[in-house]
Amino acid sequence: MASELTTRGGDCQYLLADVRSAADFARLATYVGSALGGLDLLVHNAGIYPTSTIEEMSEEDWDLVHDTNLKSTFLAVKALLPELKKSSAGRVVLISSITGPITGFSGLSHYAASKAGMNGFMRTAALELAPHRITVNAVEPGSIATESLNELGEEAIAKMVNLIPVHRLGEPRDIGNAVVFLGSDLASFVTGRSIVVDGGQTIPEIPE
Amino acid sequence: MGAAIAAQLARAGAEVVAVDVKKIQEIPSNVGFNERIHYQRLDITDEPAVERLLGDLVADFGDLNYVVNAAGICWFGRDGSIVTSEREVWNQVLAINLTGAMVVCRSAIPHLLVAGGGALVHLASVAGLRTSDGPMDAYQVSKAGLISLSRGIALSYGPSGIRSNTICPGAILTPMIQPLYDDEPARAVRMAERTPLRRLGTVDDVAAATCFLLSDEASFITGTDLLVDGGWTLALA
Repeated sequence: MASELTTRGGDCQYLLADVRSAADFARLATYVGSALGGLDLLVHNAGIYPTSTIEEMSEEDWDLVHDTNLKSTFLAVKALLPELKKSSAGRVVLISSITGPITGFSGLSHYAASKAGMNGFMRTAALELAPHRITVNAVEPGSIATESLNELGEEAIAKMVNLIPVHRLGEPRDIGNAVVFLGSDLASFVTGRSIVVDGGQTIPEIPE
Repeated sequence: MGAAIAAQLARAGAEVVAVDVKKIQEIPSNVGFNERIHYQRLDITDEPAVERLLGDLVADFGDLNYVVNAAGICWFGRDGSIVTSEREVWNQVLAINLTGAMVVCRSAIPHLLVAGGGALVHLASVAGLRTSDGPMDAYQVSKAGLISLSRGIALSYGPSGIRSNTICPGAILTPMIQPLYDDEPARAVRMAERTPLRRLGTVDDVAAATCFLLSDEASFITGTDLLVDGGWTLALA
């Protein structure tokens, strides 16, 4: 993965880590401090969404999703805060979702709660970190053509596209563009906010 | 704000037609219109004039691709509670901030359709999402209406390739508000202190967000509101 990104013109280092582990984040922070001397932008993108109804969901299922999606957000920001403070314009961008903050989705109660939790964390972190000139924002993707979505099959995807006012699925690049904007100087007065990148899917009162 | 947006769009390579109800002589010289920014005097509440101008500019420049609704008034001192403020304040603020924007959209969308799509950005306000200090009922209602109008356009014209979003600025240092701060410098300090990032926003902050939403980088973003408020609306206090 690192070599692929490097060939696209970046300088990329890959570190194998478990986002549920405070020790792994401590290792990452040490590396960032020694190799880079500080951090300008932290993007939290790790997340899982195994489906399960509330009736069938075990406590372990719930905890795994919350540890991976939500607790990891806190662990990442806490561990990397000293490095972000070294930047003149620190930025945190969380990849949230429309599911939870705006809508519900049967079978994803744990995921939806974790994503709504991310937004709650984001707003408070924005207030706490504002005195350090660190902004904290989120992106809420709608239906994006990722590998796991493509597995749903053509018919399901065609149905989904019909529900999106711009009549296409989002591309990973659409999310990347919003992250780049929030991570840049262009967005230095934007904090505690999420940008919904859903092609207008959540606007209708009743989907057509 | 409109001038800063025009300048950034021109720097990005757009041919910009900037309109205002003022004569060009009344536009401050520091606005910096140049060969890519074409100024036209226009009253956006005059629908036939808006239609004529759009027709002319399409004839002169070709396809219309982007529309920014930045015209707006805020009657500090006169706007207040609906019970105590003059009816004229309500009529004028709604006529310019909401009906004027509607007229521009109504006249521009057919041209955007001819161009095969495009993007609109409307400058609303955090006041349209919450309330105004004061109060300023006419202003906040006009901005709430603009937010709702933007969503309606996004939904109706998304399938035709037209996107519509709003920017909701918080406390921004603009020429419109500058005289207020000049009269009462403590007000500017107070507003900055109430903003979590501890500064007033600049017109360039608003222009950057506007240009992002207009750009192809935001091609999957429609019907949303981007707050440029330094965290103003995050806390209750």
